[in-house]
Amino acid sequence: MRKSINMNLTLIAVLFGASLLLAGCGDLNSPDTGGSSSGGSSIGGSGGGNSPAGLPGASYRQTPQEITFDGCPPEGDGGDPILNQNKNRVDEGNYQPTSFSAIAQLTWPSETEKTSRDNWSSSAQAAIAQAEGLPVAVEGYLALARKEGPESTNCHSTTDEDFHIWLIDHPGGSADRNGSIVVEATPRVRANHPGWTVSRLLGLAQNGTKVRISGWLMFDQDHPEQLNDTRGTLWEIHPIMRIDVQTGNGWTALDNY
Amino acid sequence: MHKGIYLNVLMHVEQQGKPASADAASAESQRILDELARQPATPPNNLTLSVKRFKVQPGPDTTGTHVAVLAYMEGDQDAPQDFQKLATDDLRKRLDSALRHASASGLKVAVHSIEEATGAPDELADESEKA
Repeated sequence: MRKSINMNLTLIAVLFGASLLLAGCGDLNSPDTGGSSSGGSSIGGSGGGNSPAGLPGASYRQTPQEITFDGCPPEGDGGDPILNQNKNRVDEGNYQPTSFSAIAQLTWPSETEKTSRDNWSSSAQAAIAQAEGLPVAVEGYLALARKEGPESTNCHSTTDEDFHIWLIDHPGGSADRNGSIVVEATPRVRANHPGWTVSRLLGLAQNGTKVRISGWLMFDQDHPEQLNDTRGTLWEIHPIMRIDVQTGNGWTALDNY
Repeated sequence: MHKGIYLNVLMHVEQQGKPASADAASAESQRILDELARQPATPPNNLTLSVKRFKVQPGPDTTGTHVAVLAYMEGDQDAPQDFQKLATDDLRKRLDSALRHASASGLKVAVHSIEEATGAPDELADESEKA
């Protein structure tokens, strides 16, 4: 009997602690509501540890490895150095199959938008850290691909620039980007993938070919103005580490396609 | 390393203490920026300026008309050094110099802010595709 009471008290304490943690996260934005939601991400994951539902478990997370590329350090030449370091990782991971919707429905605290990471509250940092840095593999279709312009991540180089690629959950085109997940191929990773070209990616988009994008889940707080217009969420796969194309025999690496 | 950056310049334009007309504000902003864009690059950074877009838009106050200018600058700098600061400081210096003297138009122009336009390449490409 006493054991049962103790267990109940423990359960109440755990639930109370969890409610405090969620309350501390403040307003959580999602692509669907564009405003606050009450619950935020649920706890779960397939590989153990605390990750939002449908995402790989926290045990799949690993210490990022970064390199200086063409003289440009991982933190870039300005902007948000933590964000740039996340974008500039080059290590391969154990990518776990993840549904498009699991990422598209991820929430984030509204206080993070357009705010440098060193100004985030500890609860906002904790909320983002639950999902950021997980190795995911997502199937979908490409809506569009473009070479981007200079940015602090790549030290504002006019030659080393990211590819912006829009992943959607059905065959479509540029007009379907309002529900897309932005996935980015960085020059540091592309250096090892000569077959990753904008023209080849555009061909996959135009033909409605199914693709599998593997890489690191990352939150880009800088572009809330694009939500529901040219992106569906601020969560990205960035950097992309592998691009596979669906073929008759399964999946073929884009380099060999 | 050869670098580039897109900058949003928000201009504030008044005429005799009132907001200038949208056409006049836009034309005056364009005249000033075009003049700056014609200036030759100077060593060691060899900064050049080009103007991509002018747009009259609501601003942070009602005393003037606000013109958002999307500018693009290129130059040379060691990779890890802060190009945003270099380009922003240079453009502000050029604008301060150009705005020091009252223009023949009678318009009073001031710079409200200069910020990096991180989404500019996508915006320009989307506008181009829609046109």
